[in-house]
Amino acid sequence: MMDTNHEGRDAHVVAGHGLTKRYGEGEAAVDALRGVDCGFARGSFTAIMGPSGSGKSTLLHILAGLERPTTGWVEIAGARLDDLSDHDLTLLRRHQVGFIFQSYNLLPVLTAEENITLPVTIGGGEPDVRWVETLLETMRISGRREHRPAELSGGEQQRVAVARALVRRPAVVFADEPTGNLDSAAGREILELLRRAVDEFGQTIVMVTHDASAAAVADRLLFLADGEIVDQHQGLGVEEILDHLKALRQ
Amino acid sequence: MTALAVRGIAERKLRSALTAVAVLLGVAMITGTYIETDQIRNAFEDISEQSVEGIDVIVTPDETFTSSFTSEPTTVDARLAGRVRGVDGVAAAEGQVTAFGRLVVDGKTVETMGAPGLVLGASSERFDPSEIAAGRKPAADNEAALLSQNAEDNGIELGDRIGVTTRRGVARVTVVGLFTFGEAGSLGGTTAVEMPAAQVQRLFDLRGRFSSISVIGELGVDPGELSRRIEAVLPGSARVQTGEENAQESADEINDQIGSFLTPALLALAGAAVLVGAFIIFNTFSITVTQRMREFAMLRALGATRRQVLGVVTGEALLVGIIASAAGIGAGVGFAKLLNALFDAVGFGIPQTGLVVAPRTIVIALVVGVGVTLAAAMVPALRATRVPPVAAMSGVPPRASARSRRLAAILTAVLAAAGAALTVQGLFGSGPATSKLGALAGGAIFLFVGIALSARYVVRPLAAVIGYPIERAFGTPGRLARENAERNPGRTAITSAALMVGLALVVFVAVFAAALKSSIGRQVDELIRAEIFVTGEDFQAIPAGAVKAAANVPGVEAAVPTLFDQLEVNAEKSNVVTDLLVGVDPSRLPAVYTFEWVDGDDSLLGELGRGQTLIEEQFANAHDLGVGDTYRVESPSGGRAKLRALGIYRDPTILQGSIASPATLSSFSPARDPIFVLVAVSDSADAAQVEAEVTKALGRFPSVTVESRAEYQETIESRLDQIVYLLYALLAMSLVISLFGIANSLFLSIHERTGELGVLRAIGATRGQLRRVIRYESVITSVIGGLLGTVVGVGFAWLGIESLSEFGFGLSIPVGQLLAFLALSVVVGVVGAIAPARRASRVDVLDALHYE
Repeated sequence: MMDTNHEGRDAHVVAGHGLTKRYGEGEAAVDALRGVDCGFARGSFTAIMGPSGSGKSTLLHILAGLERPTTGWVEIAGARLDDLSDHDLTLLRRHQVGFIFQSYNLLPVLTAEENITLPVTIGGGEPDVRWVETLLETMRISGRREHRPAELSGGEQQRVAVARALVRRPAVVFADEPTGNLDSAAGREILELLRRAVDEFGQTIVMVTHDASAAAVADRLLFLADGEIVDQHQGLGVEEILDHLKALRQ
Repeated sequence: MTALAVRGIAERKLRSALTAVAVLLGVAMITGTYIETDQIRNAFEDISEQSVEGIDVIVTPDETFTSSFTSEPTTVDARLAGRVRGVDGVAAAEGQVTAFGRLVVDGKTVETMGAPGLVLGASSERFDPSEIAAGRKPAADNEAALLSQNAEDNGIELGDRIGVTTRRGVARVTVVGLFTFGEAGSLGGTTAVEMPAAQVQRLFDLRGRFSSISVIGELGVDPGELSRRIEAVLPGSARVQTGEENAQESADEINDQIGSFLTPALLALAGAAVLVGAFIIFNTFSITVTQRMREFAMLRALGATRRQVLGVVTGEALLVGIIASAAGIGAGVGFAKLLNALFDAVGFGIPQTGLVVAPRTIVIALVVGVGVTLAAAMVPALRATRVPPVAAMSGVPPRASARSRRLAAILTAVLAAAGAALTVQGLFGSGPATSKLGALAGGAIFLFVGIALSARYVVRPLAAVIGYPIERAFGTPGRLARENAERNPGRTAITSAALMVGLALVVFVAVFAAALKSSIGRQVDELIRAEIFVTGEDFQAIPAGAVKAAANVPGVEAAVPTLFDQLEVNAEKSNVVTDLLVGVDPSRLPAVYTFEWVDGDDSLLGELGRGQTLIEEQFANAHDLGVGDTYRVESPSGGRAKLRALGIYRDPTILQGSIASPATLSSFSPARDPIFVLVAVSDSADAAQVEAEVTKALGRFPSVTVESRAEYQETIESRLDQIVYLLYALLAMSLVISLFGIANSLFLSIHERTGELGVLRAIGATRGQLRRVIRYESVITSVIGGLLGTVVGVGFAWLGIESLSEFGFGLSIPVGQLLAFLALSVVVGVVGAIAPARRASRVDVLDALHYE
């Protein structure tokens, strides 16, 4: 087994192997991913960066099982996604994967607390009350639990979304530009909360962002360009990240 | 802009198709109604023309008015034929005899499904409207020719022996010929048998009588002139018409009957379907206009005028309306065929010819279809014009202002109040029946629209109540379904209102029928003491021999024959329900009947002499009569009498109208035979055993039915049920349309919530769970419609029953049936959600998430 990340394979809770993705056919075909191998250790916080069209969103979708790769395969918590039926994939998402979207994507008809517990209740389960309380505390939305999304600010909505992603204690949380729709103060707050989730709860997070200050919060950075991983680093500062990005664009 | 409207429809094919179906089905019902009634009319006209073909003048008994009791043939003195022959210009004249009798095949009478069973005296060649298709005309007394269609339907061949019920029991005849009549493809359930005229006169005690006298004039003599000359030599009791006039009159009579009942009844049901369609069009356009606000704002920002935006929406409505109406006209032919099948299935035999789509039918269908579509789309279209151009940038659709919402609420209230007022006016007000029916129909439409618009205020509480068990049983999908149903109360309200209309009418019919049944049942129980009912099939008269035979059965205490005729009282227009005279021996009545006296007591029964009557409360009220008053009556056959009321009793269902001795009745009416015979069993005998004996004794009279009290009630109920089922079948169309409405509204909501569906899928909701969310939402919506429909239907029925309380009506709620209708609304919800739920479950997660 090739291991490009120089880390023990057993420690990887999510891994992609030889991932390619081709959209369209013949002359019009576009290769969004051209062979990506990657692994993400339990309890790690990884940021994926790259210019527009570099394939970072495609990579995230494939890692999360929302999209199937053209070739290669993904493992989450020991399960090969290409072996799973649509139904089993759904159940795997329900149990092992959390999502944070750029546009919050809360259900407008449910209260903040109901939105948070939705991944549990949708399967007919009972939410762990203490854990939900902890999340509400941590995300500083205890006072807003009965409010509907329309009554919450953008930052509050995204905090609800973060709590929702964590409620199942999933193997991994995928965040797609989580600060993209927020002002800088609210964005910083979200990043800080994500950091705490990793540090205090041991949560694994994979985040796609084009914001250098967001990426700086992560432990590790993957730089993507033209569908390939071109660079990876541990714990870079904002300045260094910006330099890297500039270099990639040239 | 036209291009934009066309493009709009092309892009939203599914939605447009579903909207079109809503219009199409209503239009199909209207078209089908006209096609069907035109067909019936043509068939009858054909028969009327055929029967006087080649006849210049026809002499018939003069009828003051047409009676609904046709069991007695009306006749003229046969000697008049001789007088007619003597008139200058008459080439030939011949009397015809027509009587009513049933075919008997294998010991059983042949069902006519409400159509007449005719026994015709054979005419000579020139006067005969029928044509022999096989065999020959009957020559001997025991020979007969049979209508080909009857022979075919009953497997009768030339040489077979059949029976014909007559006043003297069953006559056995050999079929020697088969005949056809006119061009009509089918005469419905009518049976007709031809026998020598003299034999028909004998069998029906019509010696020396003719039903009509047909005249053929000499060449060159004008029929009109001839008819005047004949009229001059005949008494007033005979009516003289040219053949043409006679055919025209029969056709007019049929037209009248169809035009005054069948057409309006069918159109009312079609109207309900159109109303349901209108709700759906309104809803669809409201939702799509909301969804396209940004597009309209952009058009406005680019310089489109309000009028142009209005044009885009109304243009789309116009196109949908035209396409749907055109398709509806085509589907109308199918609906007419369905009606034929339905009428057959419930036992209304109706003559049939080819189906014709008259130009008038097409015009009405197009006007209604396009008109309703445009009218329903107008409010949403106007809303589209009010979007400010700036909304194109902000993407926030403008909310209705507080003022316009208040205005809408007031308008809704006014509409509902006007509807209620009109309904009450229609039910309890005075005035001609047509204007009352008009008020009732208008009131019902206003009420439905008013309720549909105000239903938005009860959607939340209702959804909470209906959603509660669903949420408890199915958890989060149930909770989401309830929330989604509550989300756009207006939308949910209109969607469920579409179902409400159909269901309200179904409930109305059910409750009304239940009231009718229970009041008839109660009155039979309270008033009738007889244990056995002897009735003639389809109100055929009971032969005198049958009465005697029943009376002679051991154990029978009394067999009381009851004769009926309709009256015209004090020269006022005759009412078929109340203006009756029952001819029955008053002194024998107490054995089989208990009087409920309003004014008088049982001692009157012994005193009732010639020309004296007992009158029913309704009759007294209608003609403003009290005890001791005298009044003039005229029978349909022209007989007159002066009668005096001695007492007033109450019985709105069995012995309606008035009661007099048979002698009094026969002094001015030709009614000779009873319509039913009430049989009392002596105390010492076993009723069931006596009934069996009576049945056996009357075996010679197959057109007579012997029933116990319970069986008699069942018969009445099953007759009522036939009509109820027919109405259910026709109302089902409205329910089907509302099904499309629910599906359409769900599709549009799903389209709006694609993003949410994506999230649900992303966080682990299975496809099945998404399907369930949609299905439960649909069920909540449809059950709201079901509950509203039940309430409105019971309310309408209650009002209707109150307005008829003087007929002894009382509300009785058929709880089981109402629950079944609620269950039906659940089914509508589940079925309506099938396609939308599938669509929702197929939402692609990634596409959905990128949707915004």
